Amino acid sequence: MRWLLAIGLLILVACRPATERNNRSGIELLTSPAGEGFVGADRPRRFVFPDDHGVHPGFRSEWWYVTGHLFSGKRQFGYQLTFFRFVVDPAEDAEQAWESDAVWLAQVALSDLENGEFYTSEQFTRELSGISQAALQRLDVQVQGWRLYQAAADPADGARPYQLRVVADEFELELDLLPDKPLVLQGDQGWSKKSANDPMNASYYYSQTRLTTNGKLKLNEEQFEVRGSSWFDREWSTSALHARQTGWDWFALQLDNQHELMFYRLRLEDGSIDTASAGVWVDAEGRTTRLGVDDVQLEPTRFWRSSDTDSRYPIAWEVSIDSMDLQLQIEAIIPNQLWNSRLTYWEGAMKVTGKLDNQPIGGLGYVELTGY
Amino acid sequence: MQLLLALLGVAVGVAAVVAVGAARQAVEDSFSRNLQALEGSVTHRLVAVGGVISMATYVELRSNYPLLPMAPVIRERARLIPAGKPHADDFQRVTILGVDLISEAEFSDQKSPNTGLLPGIESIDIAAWLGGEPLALIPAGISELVENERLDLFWRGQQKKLTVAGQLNQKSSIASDVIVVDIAFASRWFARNGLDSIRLRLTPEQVEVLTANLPDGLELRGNSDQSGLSAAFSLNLVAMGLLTLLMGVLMVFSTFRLLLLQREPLIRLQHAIGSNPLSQVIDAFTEAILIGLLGTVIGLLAGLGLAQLVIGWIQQTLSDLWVTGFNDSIRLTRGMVIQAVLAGLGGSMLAIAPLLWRIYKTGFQVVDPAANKNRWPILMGTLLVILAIILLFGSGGLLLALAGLFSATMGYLLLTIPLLAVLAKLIRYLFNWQRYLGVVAARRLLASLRHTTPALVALTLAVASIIGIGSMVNSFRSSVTDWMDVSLSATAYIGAEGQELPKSLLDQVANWPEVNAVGWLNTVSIQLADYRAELSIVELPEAGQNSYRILDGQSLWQIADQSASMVMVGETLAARRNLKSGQTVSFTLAEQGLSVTARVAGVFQDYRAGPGRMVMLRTALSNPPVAPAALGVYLNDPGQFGLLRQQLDRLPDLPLEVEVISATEVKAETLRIFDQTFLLTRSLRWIVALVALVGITGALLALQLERQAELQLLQRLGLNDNEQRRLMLYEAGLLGLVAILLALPLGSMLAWMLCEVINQRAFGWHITVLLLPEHYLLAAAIGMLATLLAGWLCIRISAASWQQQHATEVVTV
Repeated sequence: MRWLLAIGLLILVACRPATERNNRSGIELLTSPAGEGFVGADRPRRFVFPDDHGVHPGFRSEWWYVTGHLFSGKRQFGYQLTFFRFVVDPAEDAEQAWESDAVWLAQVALSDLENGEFYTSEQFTRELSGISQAALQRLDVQVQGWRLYQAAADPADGARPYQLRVVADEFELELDLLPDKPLVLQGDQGWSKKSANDPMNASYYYSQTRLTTNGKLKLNEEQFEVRGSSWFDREWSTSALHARQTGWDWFALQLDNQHELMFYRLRLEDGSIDTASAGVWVDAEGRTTRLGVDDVQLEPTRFWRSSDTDSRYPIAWEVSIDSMDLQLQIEAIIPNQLWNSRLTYWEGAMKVTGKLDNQPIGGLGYVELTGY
Repeated sequence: MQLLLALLGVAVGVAAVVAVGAARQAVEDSFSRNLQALEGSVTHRLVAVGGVISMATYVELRSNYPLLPMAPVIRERARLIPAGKPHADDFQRVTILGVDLISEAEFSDQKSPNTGLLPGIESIDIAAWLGGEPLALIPAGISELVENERLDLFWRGQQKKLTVAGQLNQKSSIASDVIVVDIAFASRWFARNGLDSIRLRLTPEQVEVLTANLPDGLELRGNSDQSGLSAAFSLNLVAMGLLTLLMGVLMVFSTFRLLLLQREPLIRLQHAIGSNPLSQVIDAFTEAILIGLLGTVIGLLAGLGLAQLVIGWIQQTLSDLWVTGFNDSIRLTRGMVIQAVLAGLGGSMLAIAPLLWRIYKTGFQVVDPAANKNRWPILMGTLLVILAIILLFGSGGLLLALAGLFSATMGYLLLTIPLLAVLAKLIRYLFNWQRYLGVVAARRLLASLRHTTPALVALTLAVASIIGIGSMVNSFRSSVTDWMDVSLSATAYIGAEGQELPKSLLDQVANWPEVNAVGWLNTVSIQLADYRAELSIVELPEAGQNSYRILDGQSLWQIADQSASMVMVGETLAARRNLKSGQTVSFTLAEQGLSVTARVAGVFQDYRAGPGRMVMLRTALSNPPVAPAALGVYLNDPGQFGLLRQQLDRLPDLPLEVEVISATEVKAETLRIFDQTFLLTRSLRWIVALVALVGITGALLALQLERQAELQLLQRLGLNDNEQRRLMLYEAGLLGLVAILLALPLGSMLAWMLCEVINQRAFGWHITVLLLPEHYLLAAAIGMLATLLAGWLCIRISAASWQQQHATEVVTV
């Protein structure tokens, strides 16, 4: 869902420094139409890997997104890393340095779940070879030293883990992420519609829903060897949020039984839910079941009010899918996981409890809430 | 009345200290505010020794320091053709700055939104800036040159049309010729594949890390580094503040001493009736603290008012120095409060402590009758003078030099105490042939010394400070003028901002009939062990070969072999690296990596700011730069400068924007800035004079009050009111005369110390001390005026007091 944030990026924040608090919701400014000359995500396409891990010139916005839960002894952390790419001018004819018309926003957050601390850091920069760029046809994204890339194949087992390196203000992350399951093409074979009223409003979207994660975390001079599980999303598009849409709630849950659930709910200005809202259920073997707006019931059960934005965010939910006999209670592990810099949204680590087929089940996840 | 005088003395002493401190603070605030307005939160700049920072280096820096705010800059000069003037000669030269707005946003200061190069950057439409037609941000001053928001710019014959997207910092007059464009546009137009500089915001810790890991060929420069002139100005105000502090302490000391002296009979009486000396000491101590505290508070407020007054006088003149104008708002800093307390309370304690000790020990005597024979001032004074000699003639740093200045001044003042009596006797002897009143006044002067000595010493210091500081400023100005007269030997100088000139230009210019000769100059960075300096490579015609005033050794042109590996060293560099003529020096040309070993032929006078430089003949370098960075043009007739400028502007096919400036313009501008910079120093002399006035008034008044009985006796012996007034004026005049006579050597000494030691240690500059009679006359006039005014004030106050007393006597009868 973050492509919508990316679209709003320039319109909303332009050159605003990160220190300035932005009290406006990004959603209201997300409706600017793309200029002429961009390629649209207007039909299903054939995905080819690793090519589609790379950048897709011609599209207006693109993002690479990783969330996960990390453990080190009794300590538990949540993390999130996003690289947004946004193109201003569709004629990307950069031959010289500085000539690219793309800009990048990279955001990283760490939730120290034991101590209730939420750390964020971000970088906003124009595209420049060697500094802020993404490779074509392979996974290698970097923004001023922060990098997400796919390593060369391990000669022993042929595994090609994703690698993530970030040095933020207060913490550093160095993680290897090894996919446990095949890639999941969201929507219609990766073509993900985002508006019931505008069939052209869509993106290309795939996910790696579970990656075994190992690595190091340095937090305020304290070193941790960490392990855990991550979720990787990729999306690119040209279209913008529909004028009637006011925001979305996005859920990415990893259950103990190796199943995963992704669902996004698009909210309309009249309080109703856009019927383009959708999701996917992934079983332990990686088989997928598409979920429509009527398949999933979502009910907020607890709210948290931010003193910075004076907005109320639903940080606990009841999620049920009757067809699967699934009832989940999800709750933010710490309430304040609000991003309030160039963009304002709540995105945080969640704890999941509930029942599946009447059997107790638990899990962890991430939720993104915008437009509040 | 006595208490009031004491309070006034403390307050004025403190006020002087605070006023000088506050005025200096105002200047420093203006400097900071100016910097803030121009640079926002940018603290440093990275520049390349070779002129251009490669993109590879920028990428390396960005990757190694991902969270460091840094903004790349490309800089170039171009011509702006004003709207409605299509003629090619009607242009204005402008500086084009190619910037990355996204990086620049990191420097936008939310607390001061109207500062920095690009205030209001948040409102710029970044999508239009990056993606559409070329946009420009222009200074307010050139908006009338723009038509329909379109700018016509020329660079190397290429014309570009830009659309105005907004205005730059409104307050910035320095940036009045700067046009900001996107870095991609600048890079493409100027065919640049590198950067001219990188703007940074660094903490001191980051400076340390970055300096230690700086890529080769880069130099980190701080934005807050003051120009040589500003730094010299600040330093001299520090010295002035030090002298004022000393004066303040002396004032307070004098005040309390007088107060206690006047209480002496009472103290004796109390002792005679069996009062405990300890209780007297406690009472006096409490009183001193209360007066000291109250005087300090009043002095603080009065000092701020005085500073505001002085700043107000010169505000308009100083405004030109900074783009944000001169900061006329005065503020109190912690340092100033400490100095005020030190002068007010510290001076009070210093004054009463030894006196109280005497009271406690002897029971009644405030001053030892044998004080005149006391040798401790001579002993202490001699010791301080010896210490000063060691500090001033040794090889210590600036702080030790300032300590030397302080020691020398204190030492001299202590030594003047026994001298006062000698001088007073001499004056009495001289006045023996005088009329009756003169004899009485001279005798009274000698008799009153035990009361007036501290005030006289304070007056001596005030007059000496006026001489010393005035002479220093004048010597500095005169040396700078001489230096410019010698070193700017050409009629005009041609250069192109930060770039080398085309090789062919020298021949072209030399062939113009009005040109007599052309000199060749290029400056490169050199590495002297771990120190970075500059090397000027020159090839000068005969007319320019005397443009270096040699302080030690000989000039390069006095050496027969012009290809010998010889250098001349500027005095700044010579002082910093301890270089002398005859020594051998090895250095590396930073850009070329070429190692050179050369003998120092001589050291020349050099007031240029920066790390310092050496000069070498182009013919002496095995691999000299091929193109000059500047040309010195010697015209047959200096009046033809306008013609030279015209011809240069019309030169076809020049690959860059060359600019020409006459030596006269350089000199005039330098002296204008000099005079504006030191205007405050000159103005602050009046505060020193005010201290002198109040100090001597207090001393005289106390004297008159104490001697009312003696005056009444003289009245009864036939002294009329007119004679009485004249007597007091004579007395005041004689006091002034003594102080002035003693101040003359001290003032000269202060001038010498400021020029030859303080400025030399701080900047390596050799300033020739110029002691002009007008400085002595002015100081003497101020000193005499202060004492006569004090005498007149005494007459007025005493007259009122006599009348009151006379009326009382009549009523009693």
